[in-house]
Amino acid sequence: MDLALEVEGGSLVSASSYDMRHPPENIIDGKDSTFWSTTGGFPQEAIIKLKDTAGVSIQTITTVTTNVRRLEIEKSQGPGASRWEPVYSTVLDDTEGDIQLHSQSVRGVESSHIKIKLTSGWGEHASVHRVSVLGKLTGPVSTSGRPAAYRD
Amino acid sequence: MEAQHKPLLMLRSKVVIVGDAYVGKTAITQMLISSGHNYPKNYLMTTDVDFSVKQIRLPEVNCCVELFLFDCAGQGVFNKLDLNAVHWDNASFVCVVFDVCNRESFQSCGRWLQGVRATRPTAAPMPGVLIGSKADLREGSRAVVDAQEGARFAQENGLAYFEVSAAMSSGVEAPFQHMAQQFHTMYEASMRKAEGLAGVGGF
Ligand SMILES: Nc1nc2c(ncn2[C@@H]2O[C@H](COP(=O)(O)OP(=O)(O)OP(=O)(O)O)[C@@H](O)[C@H]2O)c(=O)[nH]1
Ligand SMILES: [Mg+2]
Repeated sequence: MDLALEVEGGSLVSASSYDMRHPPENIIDGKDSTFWSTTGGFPQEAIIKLKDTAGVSIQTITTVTTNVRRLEIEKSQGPGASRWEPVYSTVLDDTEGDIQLHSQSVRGVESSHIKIKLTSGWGEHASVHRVSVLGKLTGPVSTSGRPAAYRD
Repeated sequence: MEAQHKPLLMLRSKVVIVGDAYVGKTAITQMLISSGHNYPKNYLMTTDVDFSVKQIRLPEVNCCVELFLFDCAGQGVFNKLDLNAVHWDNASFVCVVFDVCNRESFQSCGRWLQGVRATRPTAAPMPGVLIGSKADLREGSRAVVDAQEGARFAQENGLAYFEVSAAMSSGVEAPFQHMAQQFHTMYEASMRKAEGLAGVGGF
């Protein structure tokens, strides 16, 4: 299940730049064709609140971007999203403005919010087409029967 | 139907201003951000970097570009290039300044340019402008670098050439207007490109 997806209950909390033609909500609309555009300068960041803040376990994070050089993913547990911890960071290849598709297995990271940080770019203007956060619910609302037992 | 009034698009761009000591970088920056009201008559050496912001409006395209200006120190202690380099990260534009009355400052331009561009190992070299400063001193024929020479160096190095006199408040806005325009053009181009990528990710 993609826990970031808007139709699943994910939501966009904030983003560091805004062009109404390419708003940050496009990251979680499930489409690769729409995107959030950064309007200049690095770092840039966007914060996504995941489907169920009570508890999720993340397995894979996939990003679809252009012009990003260093990408960092951070997590925060709890409704306030005040403390952030790094999950992973990576340097993406220079695709000269073409799509950068990156997937990272994170093996059961628990988090209520995900921050995507674009620390540097290959071009002036990076775009983020999608951030998919595949995982499971572990909180009390889970229907799996043994929610808390899921630890990778 | 009437054309919709589009809301303002805000873009942000980092500009690093480099060049030898005493060429007039701070004078240009101060005149720009004070819209011609603050000419620093007395030389006050920049010791590290002075940071300021200038908004340039592009009414035809309903856009405002915020230029983040990093006015760097030109004074040469040994590894100044290295010391300065921490301010050059993620720059969008380089603005190299020389004094038209000082040939040595013109000859330094290549080194400054290289230093800033080296922070960004991309295929296309970082765009920017070359500014010949203290153009008011051409009057008294104290200038030693002529405009053609400046323009040629700029062209060979992928820069646009401007002559400025901060003292006379002449030509100060033009190079920054140019960068703002170019930044907007680049933004629209990368948006068109990203829009054209529809469905390519498809995982
Ligand atoms: N005649 C004339 N003098 C100028 C002009 N612009 C600056 N100056 C003078 O040149 C001197 C140096 O100017 P600054 O702007 O401080 O030089 P800078 O490049 O910032 O120098 P550093 O900070 O040491 O790198 C000052 O005394 C200014 O008054 C100009 O357009 N015409
Ligand atoms: Mg100075």
